[in-house]
Amino acid sequence: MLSAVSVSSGGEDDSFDSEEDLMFSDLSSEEDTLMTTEDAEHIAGSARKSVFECLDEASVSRKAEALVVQTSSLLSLSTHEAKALLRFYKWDENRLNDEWFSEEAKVRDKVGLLLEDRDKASGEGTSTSAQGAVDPSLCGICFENFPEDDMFAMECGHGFCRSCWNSYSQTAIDEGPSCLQLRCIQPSCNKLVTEDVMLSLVQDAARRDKYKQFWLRSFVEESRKLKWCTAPGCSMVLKCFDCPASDTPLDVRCDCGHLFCFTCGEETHRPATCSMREKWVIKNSAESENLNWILANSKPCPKCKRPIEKNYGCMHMTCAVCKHEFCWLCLGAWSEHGERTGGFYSCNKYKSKDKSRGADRKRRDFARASLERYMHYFERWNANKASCSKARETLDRFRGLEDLLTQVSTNTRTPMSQLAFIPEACKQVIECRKTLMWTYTYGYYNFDKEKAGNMKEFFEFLQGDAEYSLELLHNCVEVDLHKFVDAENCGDVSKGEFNEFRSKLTGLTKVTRDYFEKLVFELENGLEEIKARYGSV
Amino acid sequence: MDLSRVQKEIKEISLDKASGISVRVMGNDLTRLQGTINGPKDTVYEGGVFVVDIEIKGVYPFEPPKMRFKTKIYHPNVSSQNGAICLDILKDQWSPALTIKTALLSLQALLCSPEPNDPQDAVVAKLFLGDHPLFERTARHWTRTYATPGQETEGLTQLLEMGFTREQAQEALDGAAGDLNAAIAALLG
Repeated sequence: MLSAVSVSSGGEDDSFDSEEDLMFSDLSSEEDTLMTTEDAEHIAGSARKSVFECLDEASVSRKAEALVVQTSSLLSLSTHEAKALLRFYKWDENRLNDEWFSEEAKVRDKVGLLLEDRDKASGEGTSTSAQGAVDPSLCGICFENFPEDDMFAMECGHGFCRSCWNSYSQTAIDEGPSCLQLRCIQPSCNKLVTEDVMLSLVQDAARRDKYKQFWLRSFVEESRKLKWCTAPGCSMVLKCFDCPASDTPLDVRCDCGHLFCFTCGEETHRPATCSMREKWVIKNSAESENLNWILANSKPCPKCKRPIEKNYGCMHMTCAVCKHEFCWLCLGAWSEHGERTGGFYSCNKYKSKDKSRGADRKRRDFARASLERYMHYFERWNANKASCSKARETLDRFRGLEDLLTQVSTNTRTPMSQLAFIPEACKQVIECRKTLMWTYTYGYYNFDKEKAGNMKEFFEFLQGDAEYSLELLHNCVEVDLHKFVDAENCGDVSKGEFNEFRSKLTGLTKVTRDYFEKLVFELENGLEEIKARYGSV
Repeated sequence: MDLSRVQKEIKEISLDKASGISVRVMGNDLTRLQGTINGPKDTVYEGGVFVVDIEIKGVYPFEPPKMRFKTKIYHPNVSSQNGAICLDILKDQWSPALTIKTALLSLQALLCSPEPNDPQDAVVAKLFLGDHPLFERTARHWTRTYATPGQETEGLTQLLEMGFTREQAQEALDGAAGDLNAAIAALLG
């Protein structure tokens, strides 16, 4: 439903804005698409309105064709030539037009289109063929003679037999998308094999389809404003009207329901930037953090070499494995410690050691401090991630086999259509958990020691506020709801009690959404402002 | 595969005596050929005869033939270990309008003018740029040792010693794609 509407509104970019409201209101009148409406609203809330649209393959093809036709009439070229030019300029018609009108000959040469001047083209053609094959009926590839009809040449005049042209084109298609820029068989010739020539040569249906698909892929993958939906198996295309800067995340939701970041193609991660997300993920997977921990917190037993962590107590260590007794500071055997060495508890051996040990300890301290800081952010990031997937499970339980919503509906004698607020709350939890998760990444990269101070406090205040209201909401949707699910065991619930629950949950959903919008907005835009205002405090 | 084209190519090469290249068919189909290139005059390869293994795949001539030096050669663009060749027309610059002959001629031209800045064998290329006299001495030595006619077919000498005629021995070796044991089996069988 949504796709059909958005496709019909996708004819022209400027018409989209005016039709968008219509699109949403259209949907909200439909009972069965209540969920979808919510999604759309979410997007309208969390992402800027009318910044993208979702297209199916057919309408993407139509858009590509429209662009080609428009360009071909502007430059007075055939559509196939226009298509080749657009592909070369990554479907950026403005760049193409600029370069075309300033230096057409150079552009033609780069792309492999001959000059329109027919005399020159044919003159060039005959001169090269004069050097090469003297006999115009001889194919220079299979070395057979053919009647004129079986020979084929493009405007450049390099003739080869149709069968060789056919194999040449098919081999190129089999090799992959580079067939879109296939050149004439003649090695010295730069003439591009355009789409019309290619399709006249290749009769094999599978290869023709493949070739057409390469064009579509080129259009989607090379235009900056288009991206395939990243959900597995989904062939929809998202179009962004106003592309964000390279590192600025932009949340988009495909009509298939998949939500992702348009800029980097990964899961949504606002308010963290795309590069933060990438660094963070690499950091989390890197073994180096584990090694850092071992380095910072453990020493190997001097006898059995097993790593030992000292978490409390005095310096007199006893290895749990080999029972070796040693001094934690100097790693010498404890039996050698006594009055001679300055007493059990002030190991002067340690002090007398050379400076390298001091440097070693400094490194350990630094590693431990930076690790502790990382652990702080990572634990919270990870906990929210786990909560997020828990909430997803809850959402599934509303619909799936357990069908909790139906139970609630029966127990409270409320029609299903009035229960939409419950999954809506749950979706809000998922969304917020995700945002909260990435605020920790944001915090980790934005507030290291130097930049800390009141900015960090402000950030933590906003984050704490948002987190608090999310905890309330999450608790309400997961714990309070159970009263109404298990009603059979606890006896009937009063209508009033349920209404109370409804207004509490609806209220919390709204408050939480507002908090999170504020949080993301402040983090993405406001920090600079606030810095300017309070930076000197 | 376009057999008739390969046949014509072989015929054409055999007619051309001046260019210093030749081609022989190995085995009983046209997928394995053996080309020879005479070392160009006034180069360190002068006097040598270099054997090139040629493999023709089914898509030929729309994909390049596979070529490899069988004779050891000391050259920046040829692996001194396995004879692999770094030459653009044998890779992405191949065109079906090129032939085995043009490819062998390009190899001959490569022997005249090595491209040390796009090397296949980094060690050789380094020597070529860093200590050119030593490079030349080594290359000449390799040409004498490995590429002087009569020495490159160890199998042939062995078959001659066993009492077969030169013609018999060569035919058997060619039929077995150079495999000595298979050639002996064929001659005795």
